[in-house]
Amino acid sequence: MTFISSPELNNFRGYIQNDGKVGVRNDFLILNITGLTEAIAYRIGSGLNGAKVISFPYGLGLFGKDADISLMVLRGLALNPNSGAVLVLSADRNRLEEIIQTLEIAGKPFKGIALDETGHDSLKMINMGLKAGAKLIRQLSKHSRNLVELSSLCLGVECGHSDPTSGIVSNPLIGKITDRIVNAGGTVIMGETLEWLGVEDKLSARAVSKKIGQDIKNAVFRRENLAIKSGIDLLGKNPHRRNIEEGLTTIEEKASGSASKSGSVVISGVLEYGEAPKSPGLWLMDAASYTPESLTGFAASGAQMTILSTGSGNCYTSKLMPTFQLTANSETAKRLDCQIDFDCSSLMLGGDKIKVEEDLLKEILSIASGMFCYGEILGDGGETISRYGESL
Amino acid sequence: MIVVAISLSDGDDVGNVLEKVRTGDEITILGKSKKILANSDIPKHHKVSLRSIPEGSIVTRDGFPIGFASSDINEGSHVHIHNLKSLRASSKQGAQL
Repeated sequence: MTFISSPELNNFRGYIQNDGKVGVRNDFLILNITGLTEAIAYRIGSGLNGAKVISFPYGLGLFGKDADISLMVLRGLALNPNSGAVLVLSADRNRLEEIIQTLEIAGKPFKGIALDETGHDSLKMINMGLKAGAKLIRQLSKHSRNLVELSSLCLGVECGHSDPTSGIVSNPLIGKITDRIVNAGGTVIMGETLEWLGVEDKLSARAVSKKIGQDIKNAVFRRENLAIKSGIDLLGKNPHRRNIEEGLTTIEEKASGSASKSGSVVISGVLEYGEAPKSPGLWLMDAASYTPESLTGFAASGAQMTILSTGSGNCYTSKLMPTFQLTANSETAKRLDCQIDFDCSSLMLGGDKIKVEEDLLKEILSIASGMFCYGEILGDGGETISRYGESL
Repeated sequence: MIVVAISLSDGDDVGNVLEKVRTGDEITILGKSKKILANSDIPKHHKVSLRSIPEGSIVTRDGFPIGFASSDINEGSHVHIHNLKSLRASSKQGAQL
């Protein structure tokens, strides 16, 4: 483990929310949970300064795993500490209740509106939403930042459009940040199950128990078998065309670089998609590798921020979490100078690892304390909940 | 021309070149004394074989097996999807569950 001495690297300024969780932002969230009310949600959002709209465009036809996971994820998104108040919109009162109960228990300011109660009058619902939203924004604006410890941080670690520089420099560098945050009592979540393939024995050996070690292997084998049973050749899917053009060849090669984001600390457990960790530490999330789905899993599990490494560039950002992008590809850093937040390409030629690691941690803590990532400024993203099957 | 390649672990079969390589270029491995001669063009960041790899052998990068050689690979060759295949997620190889 690298020892970092600077005392300013042990804390940041965050919003302590009513439920005791710490947000790195204090946004007003409009959470739309049914497809019928999606347009209404966006119209309310456009009328309220700074409102963030997240919409789940499905409804009552979900069943089985889709119904269970979407409920857990929507509750998780509602509770994400980066929002200080939530307006929940639904076509149906029962569905609305399932989400707002959670907010009530957490003591988070909210208002729920169902289209049912407006006589299915969309203009009436928009008017109610604007008024309720204005009041909630006024209420959350009283909140200010306080100094909190690094242990309050829950970080997602992700890679998108990787190239060989990701596995050589960026992901091992993220691994150092993972170690640092977990050793300080914080939480880190790594998803993208398919990218544990080939290194599952090594990850499994780092698990806190034999059972969790087996959970890691089972998650990999299950996903590998999804591909095999469907007759899919992973080459071209993962790694995909751009990975291959840039120089990655097999899923094992990509995974051996990708998994180094997990650093070297003990693995506390395997989470379901969007499930909240039960304690601090490093957690693996059994989830799809596609960046929009993966980041939404982190946001639902309570992550306040994600660090995303890229090789050739991936503009995606989560809507709820600042998504901090870094690259070790100097051409990408130069070309995407309003997209890449941190250039670590000096390490490709053997730069000062300790200094770059400290600089990176300082930047992460600045973002946690309120500085914007490019992704937040440009807004090229959203939230996307994974689907598992057909609707009724 | 002399081009630098990175090899992450001792004993790795492949390294990544930091610049575009032309046949006949000399490739030096960062931090190591070994030098090899490129026997094919290699795009920037792609893999070069650091030794001869017989068909069917496991290929390692950073100490991990990343696939097998689908044909004989000479030292100094471009290693990519034409001569390196995954050991996994194929119905022929079979997953372990």
